[in-house]
Amino acid sequence: MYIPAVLAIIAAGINLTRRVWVVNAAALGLQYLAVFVLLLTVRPVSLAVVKLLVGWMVTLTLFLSLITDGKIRGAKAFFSFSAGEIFRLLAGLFAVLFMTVLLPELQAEVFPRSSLPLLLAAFSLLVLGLFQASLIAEPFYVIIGLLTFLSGVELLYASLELSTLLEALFAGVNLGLALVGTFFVIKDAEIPEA
Amino acid sequence: MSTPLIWIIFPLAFALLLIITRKKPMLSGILASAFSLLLALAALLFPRDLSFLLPDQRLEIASSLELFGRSLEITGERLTMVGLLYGIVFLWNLGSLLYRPSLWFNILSISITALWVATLSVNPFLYAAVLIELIALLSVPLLSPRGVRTEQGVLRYLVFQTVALPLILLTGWMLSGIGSAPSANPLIVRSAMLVLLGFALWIGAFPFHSWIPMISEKSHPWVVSLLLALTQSALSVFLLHFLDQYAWLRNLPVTFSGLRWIGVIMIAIAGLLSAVQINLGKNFGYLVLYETGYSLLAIGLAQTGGLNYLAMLFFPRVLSYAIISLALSALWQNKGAHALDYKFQEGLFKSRPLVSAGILIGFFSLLGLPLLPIFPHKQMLWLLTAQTNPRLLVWVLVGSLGLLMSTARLMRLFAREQTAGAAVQPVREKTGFIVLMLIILLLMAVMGTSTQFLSPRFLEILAPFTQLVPIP
Repeated sequence: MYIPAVLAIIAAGINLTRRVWVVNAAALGLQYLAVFVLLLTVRPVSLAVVKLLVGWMVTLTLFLSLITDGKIRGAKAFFSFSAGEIFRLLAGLFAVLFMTVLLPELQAEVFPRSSLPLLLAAFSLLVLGLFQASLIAEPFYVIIGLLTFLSGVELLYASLELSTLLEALFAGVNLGLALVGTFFVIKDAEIPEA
Repeated sequence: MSTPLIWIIFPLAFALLLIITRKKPMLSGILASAFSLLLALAALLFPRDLSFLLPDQRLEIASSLELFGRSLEITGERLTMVGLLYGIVFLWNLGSLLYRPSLWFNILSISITALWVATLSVNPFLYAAVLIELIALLSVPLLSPRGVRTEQGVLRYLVFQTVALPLILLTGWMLSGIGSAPSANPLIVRSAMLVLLGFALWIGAFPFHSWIPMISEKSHPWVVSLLLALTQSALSVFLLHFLDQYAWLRNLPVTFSGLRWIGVIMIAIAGLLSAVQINLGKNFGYLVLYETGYSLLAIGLAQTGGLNYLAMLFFPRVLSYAIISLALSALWQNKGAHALDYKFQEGLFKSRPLVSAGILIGFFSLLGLPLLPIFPHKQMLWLLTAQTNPRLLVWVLVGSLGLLMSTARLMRLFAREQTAGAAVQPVREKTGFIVLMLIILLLMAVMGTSTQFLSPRFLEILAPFTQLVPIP
C-alpha cells in the first residue's frame, strides 16, 4: 500500500511546487485516484468510489473553469524551477521526511488501528495542503491546498470510524470548495487588470 | 412534523425557492424578512413541551429528525436560541431592502441561519464541524461578490475554518468512550488542546483573529455584521455544549482560567488596535473581536454566574452591531470600501448627522456606557472579574480605554470642518434608513433604561446546560 501513498504525496508535492495550471489539475486528479486506492483498505468499494467520483468532479469543475477563462497555460519549461518553487519543494520534502520519522511512534500511541501507509499519506496531505494554502496568495492554489488538506482529513477519519452522514457532508464540502474555486477564478478574470 | 423540519429543512427549501425571485430585490427582501420573522416568533412563542392542546386532542411536535443514522434535535429549551438567530436574520433582511449588498443576500442569509441551527442541533454535535465549513463556503459569495477582486481576508477565513475542522472531528473520535476520566490523563489534555484550538480558529480568537478585520475592511458592512453576529452568537453557545457535555473539559483546572485570560487579552488588544485604525470597516472588525473577548470572559466566569450575562448580552450586542453597520452601509452605498476611510469622514456631524450618531451610539453601547443596553450586563461582568482575579480587570480597563480613545478620535473627526473649504451640504437620508435607525435606537433606549425588558428572556438559552449553570 506504499505505492498509492507515495503517489498521493508526489501529486500533492507537484501542486505545492509547480505553477502550471494544467499540470496542477492533472496532479489533483491523480491525488484523488491514489486516495481512492488507499480508501479501499478501510472502506467498501461502493463508498470509496464516491470519493473518487467527487474528487474527479471537483478536478473537472476547476479545470473547466480555467478552460472557460482561457487561462490554461501549457506545460512549458516544466523542469526549470524558480527560487520560490525550490523553497516550497524543500519545505514539502522536509515535512514529509519529518512525518516519516514521527509516524511509527504516533501510530503506536494514538492510531493503533490505522495502517502506516495510510497514516503517512493522510498526514503528508494534511501538511502539504496546509503549506499550499498558507504559502500562496492566488485563490486557485489556495483552493487546491484546501482540497488536499481535506483529502488528508477524510483519509485519516476513514481509518478511524464510518459515518454515512459525515461522508455525505464531506462530499458536499469538497464540491462546495470546487464551486468557490471556480467562482474565484471566473470573477477575478472578469475584472480588467489595473 | 418535527422541530428540525420547521427550523432547518423548511428554511433551506424556502431559500431554494427564493432563487426564483433573486432578480426582484424588493420582493425577495420582503419574502425573506416575513419568513424569518415568522420563524423567530414561532420559536419564541412555541410551547416549551412542544405540545398543543386542541379541543379534542393533544398535538405533539417531535423534537428530533433522523438523518443517515444521526439525528437533528431541537428541544423546547433550545428554541430561544433558534428565535434569536432567526431574529437576527430578520433584522438584516429588513435592512437589505435599503442596502442590497448582493443578489444572493436573502437566499444565503436564510440558508446560513438554517445551517447554524443545524450546527447547534446535530447529534453527535461534533459533526457540526463540517456544517460550519459549509457555512464558511456559503458566506464566500456574500463576502467577495462579483466585480470585486478576491481579497486575502476571505481566503484566510476559508483556510482557518477548514483547519479547525479536523481538530474538532479528531477530538470527537479520541473521546468516544471517555465520559469522565481523571483530568490528568494525557489523552484528555491533548483533546482539550485540540478543542480549544479549533474554537480559537473558528471564532477568530487571538492570535487567529487577522481575518476578521481584513474582511470587515473590504466587504460590505451589512454582510460582515450579519455573518459575524451569527457566528459569534452561535459559536458561544456551541462552546457551552462542549463544556456542558464533557466533564473532563470542565474539570481541567486551566479551562476556565484559560478562557478568562484569552478573553481579557482579546479585549485589551482589540480595544487598543481600535484606537489606531484609519478605516471604519476595519474598526468594526476590532469591535467584534472586543465583544468576542467579552463572550470568552463570560464563559470563563461560568462558575461564578458569568453565563447569565453572556446570554443577556446577545441581543443588545446585536442591536449595537446593527446600528453601526446600518450607518456604515449608508456611507458605503454607491462608493465602496474606500468610503469608510477616516479621511472622508471629516464634518460628518454636519453632512450626515444621523449616520454619525448611529456610529457613535453603537461605539458607546459596546463600550458599556450607562443608559445604553449593554451597560448593566458588562457592569456585572466587571464585578465578577474583579471578584475572581483583580489582575484581569487591568486588561479589561486597557481595552476599554482603547475603545474610548477610538470613539473620541471619531467624534473629533466628525466634528472637524472639511479641509476643502466648501460649505457642507447635508445629505438627505432615505426614509427607510431613518425608520430602521429609529426602531433600533428605540429598542436600545428601552432596553437601556429598563433592564427587565426582553433581556431576562434570553436566560432561557442557558436552560439546556444543566451542568454549567449554577442551580439557585
